[in-house]
Amino acid sequence: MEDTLTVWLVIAGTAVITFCLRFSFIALQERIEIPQVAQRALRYAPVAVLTAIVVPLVLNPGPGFTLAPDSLRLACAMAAFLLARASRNILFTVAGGMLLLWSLQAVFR
Amino acid sequence: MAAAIMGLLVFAGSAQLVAFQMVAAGVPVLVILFSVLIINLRLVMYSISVAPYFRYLPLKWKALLAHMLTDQVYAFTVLHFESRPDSPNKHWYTLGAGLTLGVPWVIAGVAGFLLGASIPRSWSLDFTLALTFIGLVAPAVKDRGTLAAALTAGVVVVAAVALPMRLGLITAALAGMAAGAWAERWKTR
Repeated sequence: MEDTLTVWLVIAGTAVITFCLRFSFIALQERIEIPQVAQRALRYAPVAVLTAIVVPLVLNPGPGFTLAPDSLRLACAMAAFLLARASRNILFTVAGGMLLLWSLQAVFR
Repeated sequence: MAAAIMGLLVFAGSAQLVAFQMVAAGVPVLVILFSVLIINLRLVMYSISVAPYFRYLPLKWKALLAHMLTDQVYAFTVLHFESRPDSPNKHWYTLGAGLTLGVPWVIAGVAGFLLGASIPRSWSLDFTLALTFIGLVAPAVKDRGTLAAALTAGVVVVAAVALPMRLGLITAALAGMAAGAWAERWKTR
């Protein structure tokens, strides 16, 4: 593992930042108002952030606009997307996606 | 030890995940923390959204419940409060949801730390991570704004992969948020 000080700095910093973000408006209540534009942009934070995390996990992009996805995982990710939209259930999505991945791996590897 | 303490203190999966990918990649601490800030900006939105329901609570309770605000606990809590606006003891409901999620979260974090290296790679358990995020995002794309946010963030994160210090993630997240806000505004005109 990288040097211990770095790890602890990251843990402490992440904990403090995360708590402040969560506590912000619960603590302040309606005493401050954030601008409409910022509120509107914040509404899209979950979708934007989570997509930015998951897309590289599936597509495995490299420098120069190259993509190197594992084709079985890519197929499972697309199936999981449809399953998630149909079931609106994360547990189903994860279980279904893993079962499909293991089945495909058993057949093709 | 670090695994348990981080799970307990941070209690935010996507930030923990990204922070440790970045530590492993040798990214400077300040850049890691800035990334965490952007990733967790969405928690501000949750904070705004639940604040009216917790107005009557003492500060200690507010702090405790704020710490419980994960994507899932937020979703459960708000759905419950919206369907039963006059239900008493809202704080116990949120605490219950938070503990139900939090206790296994910390235990699983420690288990992962202890057992992770001995689980064969061929089980592909790392793919559950991608599936979890897909399960969160896919149902959330439901109008022009969220579609624009998802498409933009997805395209930008791939295009920006060559940026140093993993700044592509922040760039993509901010671009997605801007695109969502812009698409919504364009619609209402």
